[in-house]
Amino acid sequence: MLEAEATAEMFLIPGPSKTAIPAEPSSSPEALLVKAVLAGNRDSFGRLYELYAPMVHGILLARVPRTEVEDLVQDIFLHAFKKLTTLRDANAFGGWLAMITRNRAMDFHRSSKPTVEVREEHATGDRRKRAKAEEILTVIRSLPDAYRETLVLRLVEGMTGPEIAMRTGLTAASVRVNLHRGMKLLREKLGIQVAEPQS
Amino acid sequence: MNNDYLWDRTGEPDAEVQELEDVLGTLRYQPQPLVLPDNVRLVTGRKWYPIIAIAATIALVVLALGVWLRVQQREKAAPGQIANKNSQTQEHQTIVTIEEPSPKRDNSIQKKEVVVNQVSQPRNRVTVARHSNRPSHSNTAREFTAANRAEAEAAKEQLMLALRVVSAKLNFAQRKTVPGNNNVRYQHKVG
Repeated sequence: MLEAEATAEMFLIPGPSKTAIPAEPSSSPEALLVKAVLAGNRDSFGRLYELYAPMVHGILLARVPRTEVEDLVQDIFLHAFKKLTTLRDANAFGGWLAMITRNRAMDFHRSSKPTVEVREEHATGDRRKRAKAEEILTVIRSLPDAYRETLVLRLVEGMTGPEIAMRTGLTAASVRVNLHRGMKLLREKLGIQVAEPQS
Repeated sequence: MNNDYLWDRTGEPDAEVQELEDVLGTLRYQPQPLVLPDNVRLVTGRKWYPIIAIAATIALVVLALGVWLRVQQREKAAPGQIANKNSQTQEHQTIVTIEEPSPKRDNSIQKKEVVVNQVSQPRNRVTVARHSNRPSHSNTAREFTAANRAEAEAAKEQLMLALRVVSAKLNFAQRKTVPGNNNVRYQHKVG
């Protein structure tokens, strides 16, 4: 018997040993909503959409053209609804959805032809501000993946570090590091951009 | 740079971050209702998929092994038929009682038991002899082997194909049966 247990451990076979089954974590409100959807309550998915749409929007904004983002948000939630039965841990909904969003963004780049975003050159007021925002967004998109996603969620979607960690399923420490390093890089890049026309 | 403000908007506000928030905030998500058509339903039944895949894989392996064993048996039986027949000529000892006159001239018959080595001929030999009009025994064997080889080649191809399918199924099943404590990491493979 001992030999069998040792063999199972060697081959990482989950068996009925005392340490193999982790204690079930307490269910978060999101997990309860997921369970409700699985039980047939479609309205609960609407609530999940309200909670997670900004995160999905932010992740997409960091990767795909702004004009495509709105449609993709809808597509991703539709896909997530259909595939919700494949989610094994209801507490991991945020991380699961974030991964679907990243994969969808990659698929978009694979399948679509290269496009050029139209910028508003002669705009005033809010439009000028928006144009500036898009310029900064372009700079953010040139940063490494981990930094741009965290920065967009923080600066565009207005989420705090702990919120980003909770929604995306990343650890707080990772988000903190990504935020600070990303911000440092962004400052450098924006500084270079300002200095370039003068030289 | 105020790290606390960047992290959770506490502490002294960072002017630079605030300006970025203000400008980039124009691109923020504008809430829109989710359009969930009535005909869209949860996809069910996927939970059983890995189990079905594993069961199908095992069935295929058993089938492939069965085919392989059958082919092996046929291969052994065909060229070895002659050898088997020859091997049936077994040498066994028989005790024969011989009656011979006694040297003492008393007309008595002395019984003597002699151990005789007998070589028994296989019954098949008779059959072969009866059908001696056949062209040649060795030729028949060669023809049978060639036909059998072709059959074996075909069976081997089938087996290789089955093994390839099994391998692909196993890979697929392995991907589906991801470790329990890495759900977040592997969800994209499932979804």
